[in-house]
Amino acid sequence: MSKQAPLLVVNDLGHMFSNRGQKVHVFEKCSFEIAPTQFVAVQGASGSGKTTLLLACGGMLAPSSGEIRFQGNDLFTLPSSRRTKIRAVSIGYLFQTLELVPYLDLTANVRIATGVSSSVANQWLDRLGLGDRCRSYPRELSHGQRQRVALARAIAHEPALVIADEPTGNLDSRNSELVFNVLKKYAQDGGSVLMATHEAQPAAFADFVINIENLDLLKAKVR
Amino acid sequence: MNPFFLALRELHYRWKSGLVFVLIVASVTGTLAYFSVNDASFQKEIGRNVRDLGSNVVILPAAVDQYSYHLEGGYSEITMDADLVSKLIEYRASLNHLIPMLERRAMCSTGDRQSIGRVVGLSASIAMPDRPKAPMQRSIPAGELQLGSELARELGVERDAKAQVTIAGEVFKVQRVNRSSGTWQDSAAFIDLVSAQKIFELPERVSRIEAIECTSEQCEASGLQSSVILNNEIEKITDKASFLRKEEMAEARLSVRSVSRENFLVLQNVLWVFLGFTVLGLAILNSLSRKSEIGVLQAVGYGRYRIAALFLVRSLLLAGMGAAVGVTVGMLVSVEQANDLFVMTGQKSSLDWSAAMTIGGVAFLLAVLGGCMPALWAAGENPADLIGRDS
Repeated sequence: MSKQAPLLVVNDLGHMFSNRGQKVHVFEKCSFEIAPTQFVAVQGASGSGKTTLLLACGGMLAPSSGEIRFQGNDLFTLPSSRRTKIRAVSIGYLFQTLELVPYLDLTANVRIATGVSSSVANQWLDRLGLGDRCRSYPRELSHGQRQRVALARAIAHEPALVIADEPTGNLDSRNSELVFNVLKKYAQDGGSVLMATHEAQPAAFADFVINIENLDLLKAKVR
Repeated sequence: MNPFFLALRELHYRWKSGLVFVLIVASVTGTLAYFSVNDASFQKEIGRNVRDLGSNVVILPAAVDQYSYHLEGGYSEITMDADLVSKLIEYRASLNHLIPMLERRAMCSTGDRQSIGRVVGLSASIAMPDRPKAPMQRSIPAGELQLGSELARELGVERDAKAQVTIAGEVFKVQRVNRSSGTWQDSAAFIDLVSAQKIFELPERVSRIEAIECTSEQCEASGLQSSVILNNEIEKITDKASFLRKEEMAEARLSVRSVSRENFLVLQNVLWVFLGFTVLGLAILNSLSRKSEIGVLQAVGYGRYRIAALFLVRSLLLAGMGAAVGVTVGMLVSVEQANDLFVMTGQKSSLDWSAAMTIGGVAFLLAVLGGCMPALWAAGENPADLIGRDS
């Protein structure tokens, strides 16, 4: 079986920021690859840099060092307009803070993803158990429901890579399972998933797990 | 999803903040529009009042000795060619409301009473072709006469009484007895210029030409004094005339005009600045308070120009509505109030479309800047730097 070209290559990635004159290293020398159809989990304690890593992989935060190649392109040497186009077509991002647009109903919130029609948006909402709430506004939903809308928005345009930042953080077990199943099915159908999680046993559903607090170990395991 | 649709959805959802935007812009543009119309009306009113102060320039035959002229109370029997009026007009001298006059002291009689009066023949005021104004002095019909109050008392002519006065064998019907002015005019009789030239046998001759100077723009442009400008002009036109400037009246006229103009300019400039701050401020505030949303739109693939278009549509719609309402209401209120505020010229007050276009245009431009610039700036940032960073 021939090895598929990786979708995402993260090479020696590091990120730091200044806090009151002190340099704070969020993570250093992070390297891994994600191939099409892979489901990858990022694990680590709060504040360990999971969100920062995911934002960088989504082309939304320039890392301090290292490179991120997506579909062969070094994301942060591209002009921002090219990165925007890549995000529009090939990356779906579910923010930890969800970031739904408050003045759009659920269908429209999903439709702001590129090229998504109303019927496709409604199909995804239906699949995520929100079929009867399409005309509702985010403020009318529980946090768990909003989380599912955010997932629908991240996935509806069928991107090559879905990045989900703790998509089950506030969900009950039934809805968590629903979300995992949707993401797993998405990966099986040809997409890739990179997901930050607090789950105790991410290996149960992920092809591999990145423990952001022990990146040396990760390198040894993945390469 | 196109930015116009998104902007409409956002306005529908946040209609209260949109309404506040519209009302604030309407208040400022309305006040500006009010003062624009009001300013134009005010200038007209001031102009009319200043004009009614009377002439401030007298053009005399060059041969007149000014010492004797003043000693006689502003009277001389020396005359000059009446065609100087045509020359002044042809040259477009910096004058307006020219009134050629011919005067003589002559016996005036009403049958049983007679008295020497200063008989003045004058024409209606003549406006310069490029400076048309309502006449300052209307013509006196041939065969009629206006009597100064003191001369009327000497001749025993009552106000509103029908009477005739004979001058140099010519009979004139008294058109009216003027109210006392406290000047030499109280002992004068006014008839039309042609009649005066006929009874005094001085055809095509005038004693003087009275006028109002129109030199303020040239004074500002050249830095020269009004008297210098007029002197230069008259020297170029003829060597048979000289001019007198009634300094105090001229200065008072200039001062009233400039003070009123400057006052309005200050007020208008303050309002323009306020309009700028308001529209720019509101639009910028809107963009900054929606940084997260800009970040999300970037994350899902909206480019900076699509994002800027979203804010642009919003600002333009709101600023457009605000300006339309403000300018319309401001102008209508101003025109409505003009009759009460400006007794002489209030009826001539009208909507100022040029001011409306200017105010609307500036509000529009500010909305473009205020809506686009911060959105373009924010859209150049990384999405992660914007999300959760609403100001």
